[in-house]
Parts: sequence; C-alpha cells; structure tokens
Amino acid sequence: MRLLLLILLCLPAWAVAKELPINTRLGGDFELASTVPEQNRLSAFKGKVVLLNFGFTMCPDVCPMVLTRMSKALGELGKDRAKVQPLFITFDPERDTVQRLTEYLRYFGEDFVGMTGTPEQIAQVTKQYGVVYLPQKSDSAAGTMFAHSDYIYLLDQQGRVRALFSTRDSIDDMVDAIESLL
Amino acid sequence: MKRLLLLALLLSGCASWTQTQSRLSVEDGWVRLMPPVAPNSAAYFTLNNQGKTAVDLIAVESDVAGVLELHTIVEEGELRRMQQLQKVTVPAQGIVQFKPGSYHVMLIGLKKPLQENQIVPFTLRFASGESLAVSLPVKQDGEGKHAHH
Repeated sequence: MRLLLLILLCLPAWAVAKELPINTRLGGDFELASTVPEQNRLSAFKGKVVLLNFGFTMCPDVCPMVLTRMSKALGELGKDRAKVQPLFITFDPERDTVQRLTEYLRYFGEDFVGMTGTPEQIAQVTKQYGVVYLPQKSDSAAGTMFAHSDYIYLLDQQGRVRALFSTRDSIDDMVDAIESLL
Repeated sequence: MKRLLLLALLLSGCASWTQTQSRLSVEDGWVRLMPPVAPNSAAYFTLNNQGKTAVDLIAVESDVAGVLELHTIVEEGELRRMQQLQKVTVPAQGIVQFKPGSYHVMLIGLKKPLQENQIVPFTLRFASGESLAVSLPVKQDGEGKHAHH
C-alpha cells in the first residue's frame, strides 16, 4: 500500500496533467476550393494545429463574433501563433466565393484560410464534423439566413479533433487548450 | 397674443417631450466593424428605461444601411437561429441588453463600408410615439477578452 502511494506521488507531472482526448466520432480530411490554392485540403496543414470554424459572410452577429474570438485566441499565443492555422469553411457556397472569402477573412487575420465548394462537398464536410446548418426563409430584408451550430474545432498536428469550443468557453480556456497541443 | 400662446404651447410641448426623453437612455453602445465585403452588420447597446411603465422599441432608423431590423438569436440545442422581432419590450425601471448572440439591431445592406471609430447616428422609435436619438461608435469588438456572449 505504501509502495503504491509512493509510486503515485512519484509519477511525473505530465502523466497526470489534463490531456485533451481524441474525438474519433468527428473529423477527417477534405478537399475544397481554397483562398490559398496550394492549401486546399486539411492535410495540407499537417504539422500545424488547426482552428476550424464554419459560417457564412452574410451573417451579422454570430459568425463575426466567433471569428473575432478565434482572432483573439490567436493573438494571445505570441510567437506560437505561426504554429496554429485558422481555417473557415462556408456553408453558403452560392454567395461565398473564394474571392469573397479572401476579402472577408483578411479582416480577421492575414493567415486565415477560407474554403468553399459545391453544395455536395459542403454537405459532406459538414457531416464529417457534425455541423448543422439550416437555410431559413423569412420576411427579413436580409434574405436567406442560416440557423447553425457555431463550434470552433481544435485539430491537432495530425488533423484529429481534440476539442470543440462554444461561445461559452473563455478565450483563456481556448488558449490553454491550444497551448497543450504545442 | 396668439403667437405667444402658440409659443407657450410649443414650449410646453418641448418640455413634455424632453421629459419622456429623459426616462429612456442608451449606454455601452457600439456597431460591429465588418470586413468591407460584408453587406450586413449589427448594433448593440443597453437600453435603460427609468420610467414607471414598460416601453416597446418598435423600430431603429439610420441612414447608413438600407434596412434596419430588430433581431434576436434563439438557441435550439446546438443551433443558433436568428429571429426577427416586431418589438422589444423594456420593463419599467429595467434594462434590455442588446449584445452579440442575443438581441441586436441588424443593419442590412450597408450603403458603404463602416470605418473603425466612425460615429453612426440612430433613432430609436417606441410604440408610445417617443423617440431617442443616439450615436454609436463603430468598433471591431465591444467585448472584453473574457466576455461571454
């Protein structure tokens, strides 16, 4: 008994530190039209941690809020920022062209990459990641908007999903999780 | 004499007008700076009603966008759905917070891209006939680092 206690006490800190689990239910590689042509698939970012989010550029509230949160978390990383790739995939490919995504994402950070594709491609990748988006017709002058989920996905250097952040998670918690992978 | 009467009427009108104005106020307001390519934006503020009766905000006007609408975000499980509202009720001696992920004024069809720190004039119109003029700054983000939605 004493020996067990001694062993437990002597375990190195890393063994008991919180390690992010690997989400085997979500994720996987995909290939889409990209704002950076040579980076047109997830595996192009192998070796980097990826922050992935899905949204649409006509969205006035939730999507820019989430992208701003991504931007803020990246801003906290200092020199490690280069090890983390921000990636945005639209689920509104009819309106969100590569050109539009390029202009839109530049505002959140020079290193943001955007992807779009055919509705079928988008349906496939959103299914892989469990993203829900439902077009909504309404009387609003804004035209078609989407009801949608808004997680930020944290992917490790091998493209595996390690955490999902909701808007309830603090920027500090996001930064801690990202840094645990670096 | 008639003129004097008219003036008196006008003045009393002004007095009551300013009185109704003073019970409503706006604090901590801002408009979201968006990438120039984005046609829509949103305005946020805390609407304070010091009066003894509830007020209904029914419209917000501004020259910077084609249409302004009142919206809120409804959470349904993991989904966030934007819902247009015909009115937002501010309780007597209460507040309503317009904030990201919640109540917001949607600016649809910006006539030209907003600039950071630009001051945007708005007129808030209430069901009672009252109105409130406010000017809100354009900011990238109105929340602090630790802010939640």
